[in-house]
Amino acid sequence: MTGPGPATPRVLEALDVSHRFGQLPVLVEVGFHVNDGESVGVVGPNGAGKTTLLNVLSGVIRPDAGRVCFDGVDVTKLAVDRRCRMGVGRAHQVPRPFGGMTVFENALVGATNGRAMRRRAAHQCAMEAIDRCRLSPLANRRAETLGLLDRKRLELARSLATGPRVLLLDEIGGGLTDAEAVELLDTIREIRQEGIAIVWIEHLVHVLVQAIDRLVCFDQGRVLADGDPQVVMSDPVVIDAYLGSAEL
Amino acid sequence: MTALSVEDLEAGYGLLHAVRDVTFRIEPGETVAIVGANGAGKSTLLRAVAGAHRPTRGRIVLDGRDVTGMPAHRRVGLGLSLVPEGRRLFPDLTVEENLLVGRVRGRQGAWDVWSVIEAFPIIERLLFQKARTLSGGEQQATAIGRALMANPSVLLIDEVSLGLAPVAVDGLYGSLGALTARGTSLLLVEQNLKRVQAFADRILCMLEGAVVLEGRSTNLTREQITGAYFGLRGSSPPPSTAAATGAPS
Repeated sequence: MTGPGPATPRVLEALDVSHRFGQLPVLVEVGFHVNDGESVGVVGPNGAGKTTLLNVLSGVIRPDAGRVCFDGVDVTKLAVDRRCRMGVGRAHQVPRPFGGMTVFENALVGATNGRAMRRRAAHQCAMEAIDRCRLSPLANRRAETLGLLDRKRLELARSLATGPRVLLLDEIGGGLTDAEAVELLDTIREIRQEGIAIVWIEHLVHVLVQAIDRLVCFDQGRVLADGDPQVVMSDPVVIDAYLGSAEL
Repeated sequence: MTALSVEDLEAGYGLLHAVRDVTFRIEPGETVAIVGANGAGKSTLLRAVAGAHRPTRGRIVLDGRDVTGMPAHRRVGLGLSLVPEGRRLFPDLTVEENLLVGRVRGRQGAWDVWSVIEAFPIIERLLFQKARTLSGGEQQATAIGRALMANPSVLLIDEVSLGLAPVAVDGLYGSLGALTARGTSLLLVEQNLKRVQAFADRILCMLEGAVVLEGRSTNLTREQITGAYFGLRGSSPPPSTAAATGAPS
């Protein structure tokens, strides 16, 4: 898979971002970006700072230092909802649909709140989102009756309905069987082919590497490696971060 | 007799299947280490074996006795103890009090406060100190000591060295060696592969809740384990170390 060329604009960027939880530094002068239409994977051992990075990019956390830019505009001080309307979508590890609402209604929440669309346009957008996530046959099912894979699809659909230019995925493959993960992978690939940039944190590395142009490995709040997924995953420094040094 | 036998074990949280069809055995005095990435199912497996998490399927046999339906405290009484991730000491009790909490009435064995101190000399000078004041390594030694006070035949330790200074890890592993010499079987979750390869008799590598690689430590290379750990291409185990068979190689 080839990534966008060097001239491709950076759609979302963290510049020298640092953040602490109490005395514990979780991000240390991190520089991170995703280009327009690019798919970037993020890996790293427990406590590496991956989810905190996504929280900083989406606006859940305002970093202690550094800036976040969307399309070249400084959005560091903008809240989650403002960033969402600008085009920063997010899907979480544990799907939390509105259980008593149907699949369609859940997607509609994304379209109406994430895009401030009028009724007819919002309906159209919600239907497209669930169709893209292969949930059309389940459009009228209550979300609480869905299995895990379909809940993950709905999590994606609700984010897509907000009309993102970049989609932040936080371990969306967690808990799926191999076959289910492959199904979800197909959907994510299709989303990527539509030109939506993706930042995907995932522990299922073998799944992740099939859908990304570039892989960034974090360890202890810093970028450890950044580049071609196969090269990064065979880098001894990356393996040591997960499994300890080859030397005692 | 096999010390611990786990057959077709499955466990999860609601819709999430954390442990899938796991089968393995541990012989008396044997040390088996589990490696795997975040979310691979290691801790859930240990908790299910210990009785702290109810499995949805499968069988757990301790010293020939089916303990699958037993609550955790009864398994402790039969010789199966867990040192959980995070140690879970009683912070306002002293080290000695924490150790004494671990005793099980009627369970005979060689472990008492003094033999624990002999195995973990690091805690000797801390006996009357509250657990909350201990370093990570001292807490881990106390937590393992507390579990030993029940005289387990099989000891499960989750994340032996997580968050500990290298010197503390060296000391802990030195002490763990003394346990296996006394015939205690160990099932460890450990992230440091070099440490595992040096210490454990066998290694199980988990991915997405299943055991994807199993073999004797001396037979598995770092590259094989790394491949299985990440589920990357070329990670298939050789036939001699075939995964998830349950039989020690």
